[in-house]
Amino acid sequence: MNTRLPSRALACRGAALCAVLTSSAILIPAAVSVAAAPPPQDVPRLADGHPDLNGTWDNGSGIDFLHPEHLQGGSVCVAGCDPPPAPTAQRTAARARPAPNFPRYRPQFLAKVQYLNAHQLKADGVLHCRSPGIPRIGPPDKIVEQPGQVVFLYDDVSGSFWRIIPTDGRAHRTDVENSTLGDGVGHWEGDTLVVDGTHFTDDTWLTDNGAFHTDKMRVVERLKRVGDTLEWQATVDDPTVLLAPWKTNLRVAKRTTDELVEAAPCIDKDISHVVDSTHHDNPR
Amino acid sequence: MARSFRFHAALAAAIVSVAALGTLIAPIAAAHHSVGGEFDSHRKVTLSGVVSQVEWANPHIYLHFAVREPSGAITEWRLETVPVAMMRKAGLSKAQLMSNAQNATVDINPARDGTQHMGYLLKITYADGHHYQFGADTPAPARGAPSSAPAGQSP
Repeated sequence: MNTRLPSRALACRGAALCAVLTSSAILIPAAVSVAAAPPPQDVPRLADGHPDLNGTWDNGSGIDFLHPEHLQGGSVCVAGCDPPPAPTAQRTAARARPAPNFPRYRPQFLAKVQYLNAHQLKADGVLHCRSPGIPRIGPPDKIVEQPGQVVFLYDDVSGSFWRIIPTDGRAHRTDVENSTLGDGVGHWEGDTLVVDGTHFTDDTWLTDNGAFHTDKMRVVERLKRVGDTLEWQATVDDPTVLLAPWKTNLRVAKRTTDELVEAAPCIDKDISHVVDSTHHDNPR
Repeated sequence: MARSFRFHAALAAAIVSVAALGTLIAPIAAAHHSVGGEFDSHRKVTLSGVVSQVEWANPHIYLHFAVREPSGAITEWRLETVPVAMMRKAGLSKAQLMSNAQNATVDINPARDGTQHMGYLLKITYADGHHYQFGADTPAPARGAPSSAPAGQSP
């Protein structure tokens, strides 16, 4: 993969063409190193040669730390189990939370971040069932891949969301208003689907704790199928407020047969009862 | 480690802002869910009654729990519990939470703001003996102390 000859790798999907290229590799010295390179990841492909991203992908919904225990007689301990299970290396690794990863803001905007963080209960739209926006919503829960477009479906705690992303080379739309999920156009870089997002509103956060952005931000998401997993990572470029482009943590979703269902209604009944500034996490 | 690396990799011009951000991140790393901001984890109340309704909703599922008062009147408590994704991951459904409306006992933390008949559901035990647990049965550490509760119980 590091040899990076995507056009050759792409062409080597038809048996006849593959044979020709293999012969060429033998005859042409410059291509010998290509023949020695590791083969591309063996993933299912569609007729157009692109990796098959179709399916439902379980990204953990941010609750990887939760390990319900099924007990005798139909009892279930969902959380707060007593006594707690003995820690093991495997369990500890599974429950470990990602390292803190927060965008670096320009100095003049740090006060705003701190203010929003301190007023999180009012300022964070997610706590009021509003759209998390991109990239906070994370990887799609289901992908429908067709020639010329992909459809992303999301089952989020705030509700159901969807995006239609053209992959036929067209430019961003100019006839749409800004939105929380923006306007996305996709293209393939080798086996990686790259989604370029613009036209965002400025009322969502990049992550928890006051990580605001402007409506000029650009978000590039990269999705790659590796076996029966889907790797997703987004990079946010918002130079007006950020010192440097910010990358989300890498998220790895697993292919699942557990089909999506209509999201439960999101109705906030809590925030008005919170009596201190205790933080809400919004794991995704 | 990741944050340390980021600090060292920062450009000199950004040192001031990054240092300030470090002070911002410190409390974030320790921040957890706000169940403790809404419910009194130092008080446990036990009630007997019947699950009369399950609100299958986000960001929290609510059980309505009908309690018969000594006067004979029925008081309905609204008991907050985990989000839908957690309940589904535990394999529990609305029907299971109802459990055919059999008698049940619940342990709850009451609301801190004084709202009557509202609480956070720690455990429900049904008359046939099976139970579902959603929170620690022991009092939480004093407020301000680090919590061992899993983050994200409450989105």
